[in-house]
Amino acid sequence: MLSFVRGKLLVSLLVLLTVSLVGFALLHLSGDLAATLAGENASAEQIEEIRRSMGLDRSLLAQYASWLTGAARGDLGTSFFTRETVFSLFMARIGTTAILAVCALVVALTISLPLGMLAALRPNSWLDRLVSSLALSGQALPSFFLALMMVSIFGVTLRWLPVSGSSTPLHYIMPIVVLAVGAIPALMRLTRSGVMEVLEQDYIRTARSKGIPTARIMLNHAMRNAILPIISLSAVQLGTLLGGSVIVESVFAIDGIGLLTYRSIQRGDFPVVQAMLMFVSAAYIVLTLLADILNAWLDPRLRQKR
Amino acid sequence: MSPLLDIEGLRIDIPGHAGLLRAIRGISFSIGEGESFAIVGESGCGKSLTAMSVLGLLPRSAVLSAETMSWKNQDMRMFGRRQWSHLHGLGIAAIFQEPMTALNPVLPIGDQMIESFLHHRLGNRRAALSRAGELLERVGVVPVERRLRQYPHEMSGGLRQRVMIAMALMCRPNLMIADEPTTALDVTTQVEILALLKELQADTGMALMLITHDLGVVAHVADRMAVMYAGEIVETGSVASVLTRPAHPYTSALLSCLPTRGQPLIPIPGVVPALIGELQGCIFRNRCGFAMPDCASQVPEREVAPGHAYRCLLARDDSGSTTDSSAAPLEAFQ
Repeated sequence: MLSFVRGKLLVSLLVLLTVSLVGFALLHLSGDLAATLAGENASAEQIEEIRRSMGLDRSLLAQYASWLTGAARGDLGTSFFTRETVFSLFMARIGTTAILAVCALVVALTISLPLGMLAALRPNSWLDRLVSSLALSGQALPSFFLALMMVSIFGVTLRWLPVSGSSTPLHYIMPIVVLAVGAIPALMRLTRSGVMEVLEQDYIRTARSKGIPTARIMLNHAMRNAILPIISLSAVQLGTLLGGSVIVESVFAIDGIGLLTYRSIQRGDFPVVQAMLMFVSAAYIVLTLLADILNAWLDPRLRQKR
Repeated sequence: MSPLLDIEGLRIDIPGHAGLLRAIRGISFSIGEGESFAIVGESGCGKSLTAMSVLGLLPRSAVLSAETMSWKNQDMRMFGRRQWSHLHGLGIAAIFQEPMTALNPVLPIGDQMIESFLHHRLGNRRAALSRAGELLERVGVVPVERRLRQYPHEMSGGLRQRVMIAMALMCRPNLMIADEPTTALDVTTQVEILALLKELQADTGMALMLITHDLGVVAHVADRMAVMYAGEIVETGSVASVLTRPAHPYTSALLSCLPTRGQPLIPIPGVVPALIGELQGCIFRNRCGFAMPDCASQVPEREVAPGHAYRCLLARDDSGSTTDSSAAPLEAFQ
């Protein structure tokens, strides 16, 4: 198990390095950062001055090397605009986004696992059809539309929930619902198809022939096998959610990672963008690794392959 | 004494796109305490479906009807969820064809073995584990301590089938259904597993319902047998009688399909007819060398000897058999 994790970690580090290099190159090749920073009415000298003071006149490789040495020491630089360290900008927002992401995933799993299981137990029943059409409409509904409809109904008309900010737990309800609705369809479909496939297996027939009741067969035999791909998908979805949703954060005026990244890209705030890129890829890598470890713990066959 | 399991006129229909598939058409058999009974037939003849109906594990779409279907004189068709759950494991246990897939890959075999014992409240976890240990020892899966913690993929097919057998015995069932228990195993392992089944049956006094396509297996293990063809039982009787004096042309044909050294195999010509729509007369007539016009309308049941019955127009007397070349001494199968 330890060598399994060690191998995975090594690959993860290489992936992170590659992402940082490609991201760095793309950001620098996408336009003249100094010109963007100087603003529209800046003179050529001002632009040159900025280029020199920011170190943007050096070769791309030299710039990458200095960024990398800084990053390795935990120094991700400071924002070109706010002069705050990237780290403090990030820390001020990650809490909000993480709460939204984790709650949304928990809500999505709480809804999609039981419904997917019930649908798989009775294929083509009314419940199965209801679940399938719910998944379809969830997938077809754009999140900005759902967010705006919720604001207009529960925020403006009924006045049940606050519509903007993140100061009280009540503020989180609508954003969590919108994010969860986005995650539910894929999870529910995967649960349904996974459980249906597992229920066809010989070992389920064996369990039935032993007189084990359906509920126990579902949890102890079927879900133990069907949960493996669901764990992997949940990891990917949590990664996406942790990157922040620009739409949800904009509509509900939540100052999170998504908006920070969006604004930084718009104004060419390179250190912040690069740091967010690294954060999102690191989040994906760590979550996928955790999912792999969890799966290997649940499925002895995966453990032995290493 | 009344039999353990008594089935009369069992029918199973499966609705499908092409029409109603009449998979099982009025078969009858019974199994007494401690008896071993084999159902033999080609794949698709309905023998596994028969086993599944006794286990109450038919596919949801299948429609079952029967004149009698009783377990210890209780009508199985009236069984509710609780009674089935009680019957499974405690009354009837089963082992299946594919030991590779019949065990849950993510649970240690110990957990799988004690599951039904605990569910049926036969004792606590410690008692369950000690019984599982005894049984593994008995079926030769040792060292027990290590095996209980192992997962199915860490064992060979033969070992897994032994585990399945031990697991089936956990709750001391009255009847074990073995659906092609040795088909997926290599020949030496087959012989060992059959010998083991026979021994265990002698030890425990349980009855055995063996489903197989292999007449050699039948000769090895069973007391009585039924030959199934296309959803019907065409011949039934004691193994000794049926194998040495086959009365139905299909049974004779099956026997001549057995490989004998230096002689070419004689395959049965033709294919099993589709079992859709109204079926009349003898279902084997399109492949039968003795077929006559009347075969399309009537199939009487005749007796060769007491307890040895067959369904055919051809009359057999007690001394002869259909095709003399196929009659073989019983030892030839063992």
